[in-house]
Amino acid sequence: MSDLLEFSSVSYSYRGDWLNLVHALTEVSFSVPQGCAYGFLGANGAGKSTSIRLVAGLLHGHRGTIRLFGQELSGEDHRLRARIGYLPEQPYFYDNLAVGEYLAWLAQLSGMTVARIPAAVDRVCQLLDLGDLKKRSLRSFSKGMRQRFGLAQAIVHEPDLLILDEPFSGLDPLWRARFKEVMSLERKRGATLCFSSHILGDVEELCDRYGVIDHGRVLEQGRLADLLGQAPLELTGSGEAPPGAIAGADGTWSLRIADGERERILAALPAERILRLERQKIALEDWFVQRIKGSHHAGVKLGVAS
Amino acid sequence: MILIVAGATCREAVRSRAFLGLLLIFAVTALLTRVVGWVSATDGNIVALDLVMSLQSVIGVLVAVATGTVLVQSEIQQKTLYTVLSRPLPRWRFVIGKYLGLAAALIAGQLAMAVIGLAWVWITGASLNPWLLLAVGMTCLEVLVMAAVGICLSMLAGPLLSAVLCLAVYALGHAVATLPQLIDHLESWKRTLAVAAAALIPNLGYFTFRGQAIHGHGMTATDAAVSLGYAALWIALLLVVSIAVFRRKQL
Amino acid sequence: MHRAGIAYWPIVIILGAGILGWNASHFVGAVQQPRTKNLDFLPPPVVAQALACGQGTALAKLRWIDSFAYTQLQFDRQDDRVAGEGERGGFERLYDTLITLDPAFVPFYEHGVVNTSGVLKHHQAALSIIMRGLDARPHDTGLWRLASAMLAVQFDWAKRNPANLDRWLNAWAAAESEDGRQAVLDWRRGLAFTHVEGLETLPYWIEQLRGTRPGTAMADFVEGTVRELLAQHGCAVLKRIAGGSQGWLPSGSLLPWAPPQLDVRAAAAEWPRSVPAWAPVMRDASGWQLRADPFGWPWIRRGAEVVSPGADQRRFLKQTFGQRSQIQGEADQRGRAPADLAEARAWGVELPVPPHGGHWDFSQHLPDVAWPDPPSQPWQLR
Repeated sequence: MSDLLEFSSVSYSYRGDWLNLVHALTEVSFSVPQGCAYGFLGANGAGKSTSIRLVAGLLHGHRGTIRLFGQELSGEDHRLRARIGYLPEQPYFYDNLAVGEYLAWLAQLSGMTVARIPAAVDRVCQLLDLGDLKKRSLRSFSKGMRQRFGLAQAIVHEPDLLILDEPFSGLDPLWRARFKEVMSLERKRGATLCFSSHILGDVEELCDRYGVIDHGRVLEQGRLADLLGQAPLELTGSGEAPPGAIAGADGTWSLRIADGERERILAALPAERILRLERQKIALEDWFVQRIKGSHHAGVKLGVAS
Repeated sequence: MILIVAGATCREAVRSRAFLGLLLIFAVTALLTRVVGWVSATDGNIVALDLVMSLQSVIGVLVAVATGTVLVQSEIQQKTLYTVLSRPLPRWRFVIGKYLGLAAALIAGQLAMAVIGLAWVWITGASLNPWLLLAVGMTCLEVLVMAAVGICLSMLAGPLLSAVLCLAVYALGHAVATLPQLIDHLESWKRTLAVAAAALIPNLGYFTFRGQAIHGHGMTATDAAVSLGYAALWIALLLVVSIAVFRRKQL
Repeated sequence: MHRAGIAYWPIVIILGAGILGWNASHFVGAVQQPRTKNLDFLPPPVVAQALACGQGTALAKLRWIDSFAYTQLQFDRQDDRVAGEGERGGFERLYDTLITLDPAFVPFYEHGVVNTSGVLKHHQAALSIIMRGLDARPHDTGLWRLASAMLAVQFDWAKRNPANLDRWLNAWAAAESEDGRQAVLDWRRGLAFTHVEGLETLPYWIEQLRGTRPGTAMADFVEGTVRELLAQHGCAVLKRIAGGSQGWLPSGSLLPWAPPQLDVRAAAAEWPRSVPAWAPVMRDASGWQLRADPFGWPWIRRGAEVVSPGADQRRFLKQTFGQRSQIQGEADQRGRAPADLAEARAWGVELPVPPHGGHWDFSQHLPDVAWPDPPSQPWQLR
């Protein structure tokens, strides 16, 4: 499976307040394989939006290599952006254009042929319940309605790569569920998904790959299944408890064992005393917090030029 | 692609409340200029016509400055162009498309004001002549140049500062026409400095034709072509500078 | 319990009506008073142009309208000196700037002249204003007329500098179109008549005649008035150019005057260059000729005076208007007109005998006089 998006040792800096040099990204490397759903995790200000905006062409001047659809991003790569759909964090739109004409305009800008646009607009309006609002301007839209429009404009031209920055922000639980459905439909259509979110449960639900970024550096990335597979095994038994086991109220005991220790411990116990062996469910949120704290203890700091 | 951006920009501009509000202000003020014409001891029609056309020019420039200075800058600040520039749209096409859209809206505004103003003075007794249409055209050129100035300055400074600078350029641009007389008495090095500084400002005297048109005096085809060429040159220069700055902007 | 909210719109309407009424009350019952105001902010023309930001023509007009209050002030003050400007007064500075901002607007020149010359008697300043006007609008008839009037009236060029005035009027004629040159001719005629005794109002009557249709009562009246004026002038002139004690006409004579008896020196003094069309004499290759009076009658000498029979006839009708109206009244009462002069006298109205061969005609409702046909053609006035 080829990588649709690949960051190789990408660094990016900019002049902040008082012209201080801010290192937003430092040697960031990750890849998004074709067809997958990639969850980009990180605390506020970690560098998620910066990475996404580099791909969207809103920022430039990075060091390192960003490859999109196998081609390196350079100054003249606007044609590649016809195949991406981008939803910014807290999107803003023109107030005076109506929903229908705005979507049609953006679809046209993405290179969609004029003949296909009406059907495409109808499709996304139906998906995101914007059909009745086609003739309304966005001036009167609430945050949630703007978010719906934001997703609609990101998918109207049927992109190959969907890049969504905090897509569930401002949505009520019903619409969060709908957004997940739409994103799944897009995956079924063949799009590759890459989105950032603070809501780790959503990442767990939708994604099959993940990347963690903190203070401009990628801490970890991989398959979500592998991450979840790292949860320890729990052995429940009866009779005499082995060393380290916790006694239960019903006379049973439970013992956490690592994958590597499994064979040894099972061999040491009589089979009739073993009630069950199961893997614990890892809480992604807890894991994430632990991981970030761990990186901070290890002294990974955002570099600020003195 | 450019025309797609231009179309949306034009639609957005003409529907904006500021644009429509200024048109309404023009309409009301144009009605009142007729009273001034009646108050004048003689030639009230000429007075009213002059005031209406001046008003059209001033409001047109104000609209151009107000919209030009925020056209791109507000989109950067409000991030409305994130969903636009993330599409396969080179930045230079975006800038030109925005300018063309604004130009279309400004010209539509100028024509609307011209129709309203001239129709009103005609209905109330003034006689019109065809040169007035050329005067409206020259005013349109002036407005388009100021819009380009606004866009260029907005790339370099915030909206408020660029609006102030834009108005200063407008005042200086008209003062430049009288510069030769103003600097006549200066020493040579001071005169050279003044001329060099004036060369950086568009000479808006090229587009001031209202006074002649009102009295029925015409303009030669050569002069009209020179004015058009001068405007085109300045607009092209300002847009190229704008594009050069915008290309390097981090959004 | 639901509490009713504040009704904002009625409050807005009430307050708005109150404010509008307060503002409008300034106009109700206000005594009209002329607005007077001193001139302030008189920038030099070049500075004003620079400051105008391309709206010079409109700003000039607004400034001009605002300056009406200053004119009102000067009607009484009669002093528009402005500090720091030496000889140049406020009006001069103001119109200098206004004209620079909009040189094509004629009222600037007209009002400039009225204010500087008419109000403040600064004729030199007015002349410079009008000359700028002619520079900017060399074919404007109104400005030429104004300048000519200034030169003739304020600078008395007609008397003190007639040659230059003539050149000036020729320049005006050259600046006019074919149709426009009539204005110059009219002006020359008008100028000439202001210095011709007895004919000061003739240009007015000529203008009136142009506006009448031949054969109408108004045309007859105006024609008669014009002829009468010309006749009065002719009488005065002939009296001056008559040969001294020799006389040149037998008393009571109706015969044409004999040329050798003209006082040539007097005639030359009367018309140094050429004999005008309204003169009672004309001069051609054969010498001086005496014309008939404007009505077609030969002039009559009565002692030292010269009489125009036609003018006499007209004057007779005017002088007997009262008696004729009296007879008309009597006739209305009696139901018939008198048969003759004797009966009219018998009715108590003393009617004099008409001069120059006329006789009373009682056939009209208002008694009239029938005059014999004049021996010559009346002067052609149209």
